[in-house]
Amino acid sequence: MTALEIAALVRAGERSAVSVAREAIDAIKARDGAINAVTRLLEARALAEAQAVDEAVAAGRDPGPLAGVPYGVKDLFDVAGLPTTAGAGMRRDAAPATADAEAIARLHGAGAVLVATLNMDEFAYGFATVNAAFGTTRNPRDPERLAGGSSGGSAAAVAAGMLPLTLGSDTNGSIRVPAALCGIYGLRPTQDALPMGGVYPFVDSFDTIGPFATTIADLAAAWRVLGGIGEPSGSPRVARLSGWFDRTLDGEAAALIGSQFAGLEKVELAEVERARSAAFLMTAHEGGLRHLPELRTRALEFDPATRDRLIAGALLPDEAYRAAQAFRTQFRAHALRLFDAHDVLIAPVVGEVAPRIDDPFVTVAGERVPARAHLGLLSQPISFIGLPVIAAPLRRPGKLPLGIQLIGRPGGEADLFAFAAGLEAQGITGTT
Amino acid sequence: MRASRQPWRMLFPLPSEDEIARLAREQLDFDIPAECLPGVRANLAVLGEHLRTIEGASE
Repeated sequence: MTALEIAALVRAGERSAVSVAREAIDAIKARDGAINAVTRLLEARALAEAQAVDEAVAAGRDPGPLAGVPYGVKDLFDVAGLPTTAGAGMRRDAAPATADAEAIARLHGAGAVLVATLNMDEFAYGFATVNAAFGTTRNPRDPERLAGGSSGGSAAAVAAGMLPLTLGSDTNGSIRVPAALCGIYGLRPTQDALPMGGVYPFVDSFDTIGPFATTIADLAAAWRVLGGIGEPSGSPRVARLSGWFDRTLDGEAAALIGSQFAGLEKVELAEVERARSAAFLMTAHEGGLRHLPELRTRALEFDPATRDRLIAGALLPDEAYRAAQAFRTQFRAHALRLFDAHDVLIAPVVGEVAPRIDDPFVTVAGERVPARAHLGLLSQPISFIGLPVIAAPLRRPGKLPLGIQLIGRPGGEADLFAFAAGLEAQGITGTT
Repeated sequence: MRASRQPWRMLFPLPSEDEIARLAREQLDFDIPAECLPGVRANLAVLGEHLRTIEGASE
């Protein structure tokens, strides 16, 4: 069932929230062994929250628009009473959070029921959810393949049917990449649109939070509860980003996107490759400096793959960081001009299907490079300038997922939702 | 568009592991564990390529 179907039944008193929570808990116990999306099952809390929802329904009070909907959060959202690991083994013994993250508080206020925390790349620095402390999250569509990251547990839990709704974070593509590889929807909102309180930070310049779901209606419902605002501007003007975005696709992805969107005007976003590089540099430097205190004292407790990237980033000269920032100002101004004539821009999320876990590489410019660092090739230039994006799965039953980015102007989420609902209704996108 | 040229010469040519250890001590007050140095150097090489890309010119 979708989140909204569950909420309708619970609100009508036709299904108890406790029974829904128990079903989700049982599903996780039955299925997660093969996927490894869940880091902590919050059984007691979930049943207590569900009981409170049932009591509200019985008393005739409004239980909220997401009444009884079980959900999970990436392991970087504060959950009261638990250490926020941020995917780091060294934080297993961190002081427990004293309060829930603001996003969790808003979902709680809407009647949703927190069931689990979910796996991620260490400190959100990666696109693979290959985690030295908590293990690799497998792709439910093919467990021999990566789920993507860094919010891989959040995407896999939804794709595996364990939870209808989850939260993740997206700095350079960490919602969009796993959503695409697992074949579900994900939303990276406009920079600063949703509350970051109680979210373990990675790169302040780019960090956002957002939901995952199996339908656009569920994604929109979560967006509204989390604080999203705005109305569609009318019939959206749509174009497809070409140039660099086309050149990085493999043959299968190019053929599919080319055929599905053949009638659309193509527009080019200049300097995309430099934008990606600038995002890469800013991420490395901000992330490296953030973790420098722990690196000085506990370097060998980090995942080596994360640690060495962070140290290199900390060593990057400040001048290089400032040059990347300056380039961002120019690139943003250039990109925003595209929205004078368009409301939605379409681009692929990843240029190929999920890489195999035993061969974790992707092809970039004819060269095989590590997936962990490079799966965000097409997502990084967009988050670099804070634009909202819905990652939507192209509908292709029986085949491994491929996803597209529906990109809007800042604050343009409502246009994205309206356009995405149309694509879903036409059968162009959708989970299978 | 063009990023302004800046003095990030420390990455060109790529410093040796000993030089990286010295830079970290001097600039970050950080004694990098020896086993980290090969990985750090490899990642600095990647960052250097990205620097070249935003600079738009070979160093």
